[in-house]
Amino acid sequence: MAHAAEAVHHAEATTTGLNHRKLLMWVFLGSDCLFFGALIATYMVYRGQSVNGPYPTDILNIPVTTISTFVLLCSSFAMVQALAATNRNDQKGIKIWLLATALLGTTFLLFQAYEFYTFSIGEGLYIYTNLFGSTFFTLTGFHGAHVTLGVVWLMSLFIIAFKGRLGPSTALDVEIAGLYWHFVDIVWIVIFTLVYLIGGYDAGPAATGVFIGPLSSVLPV
Amino acid sequence: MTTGHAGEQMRHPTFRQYVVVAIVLFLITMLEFYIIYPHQRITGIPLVVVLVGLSAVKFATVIFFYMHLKFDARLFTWIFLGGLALAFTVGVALLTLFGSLRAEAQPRGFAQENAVPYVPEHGEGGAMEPKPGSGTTTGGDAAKLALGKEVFTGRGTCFACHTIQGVSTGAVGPELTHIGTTGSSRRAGMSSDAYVRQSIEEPGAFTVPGFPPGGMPAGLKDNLAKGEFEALVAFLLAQK
Repeated sequence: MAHAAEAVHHAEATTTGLNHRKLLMWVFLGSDCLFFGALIATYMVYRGQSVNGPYPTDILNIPVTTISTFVLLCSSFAMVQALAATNRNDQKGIKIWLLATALLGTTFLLFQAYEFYTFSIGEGLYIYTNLFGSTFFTLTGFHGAHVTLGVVWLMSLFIIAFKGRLGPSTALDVEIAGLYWHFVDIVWIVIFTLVYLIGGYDAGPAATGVFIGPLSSVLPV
Repeated sequence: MTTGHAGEQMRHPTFRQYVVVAIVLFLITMLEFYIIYPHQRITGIPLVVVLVGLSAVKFATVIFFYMHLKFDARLFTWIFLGGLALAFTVGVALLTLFGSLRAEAQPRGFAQENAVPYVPEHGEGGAMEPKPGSGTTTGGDAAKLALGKEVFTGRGTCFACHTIQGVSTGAVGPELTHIGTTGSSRRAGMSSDAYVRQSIEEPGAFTVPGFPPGGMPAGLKDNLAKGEFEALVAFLLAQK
């Protein structure tokens, strides 16, 4: 990062005039939209098509997931504070906020681990149980994997910060990690809305069309 | 956060902005939670519109403020929104292809319309065997007829009232031993296929002379998967 100090003050000599690494991160995030878009669309296509339970309405715990959603939102706030502290060269602030972000991310993962545990061992929903299980675990599992990677990244930055190597000249390192972290947050915003808020009361094959919403009270057989 | 830091950051306009953003995100999430818990306070399309709208606001707030696209080079915005738009298009295309966007879309509708009877392979364990009608490809007419017979003598409950010689002995309704040929002569201008389907789907439409009207129960088809119904019709039409 010998040139990092320059990069902060005037643009790198690139054809776009933009920093390569930051551009790369945005391109990656744009492509990751497609990755999650495919998983989310698959979940929506198979929504309400499971022929056997457990169905979302049986097991999704909306209050608990709302709390874990808060946790993730808070971690995004901590992340922007970490970047602000880096730009100010506030060494103590960098460490506190990076650690806070990583811990909040870990808390979210613990919530997810609890959720997966209660769904599988507790309620008998595994990835092979029905279409809901397959699409749900694939979608939220890949999101969890993204969060896990983010936590590892943040902890690495925390260690670097502990050695006093983060500051205004290396703020881009924190900023790029932050972009990734916020992206994971917005993906969760979408998943939370579609799977938990809109689809939280989905039942079995009785429900109507995907976007008309579930009628969990109707269960013919 | 320590008081010293907070005071220092408070003078920084972006800190205030970040706090406002955090509060907005918090309030929107609270509102979303209130709308659907402990029960949905709105339902149907309005629910979807409201929730998708609220989360879109959250989404935009995070990318424009926390990811500072609002203050950054335009190219970043275009690259990201380009990917997002593509993803959205792929999602809508998938949902359209699978018929999930129609208001009258039936759950499992696509799967049922395209279901092909399952053909058990030799040597396959019983534990792996899924329900009829949910199965794999091909299998041909023999498998379809076998499934139809299974439906006739099983969950279709047809056997209880109808005789097909060698298959069943029910005596409440007309004999169906030759329904594949006699079906076309029951009603003018109606093929055996159409007649058999109508007899099951709308039993009230026509009653064979000599039998009491209303003897054939309605709604029998509802108990069957689409593939099972088709197999049953094929089986009946094969009774010549």
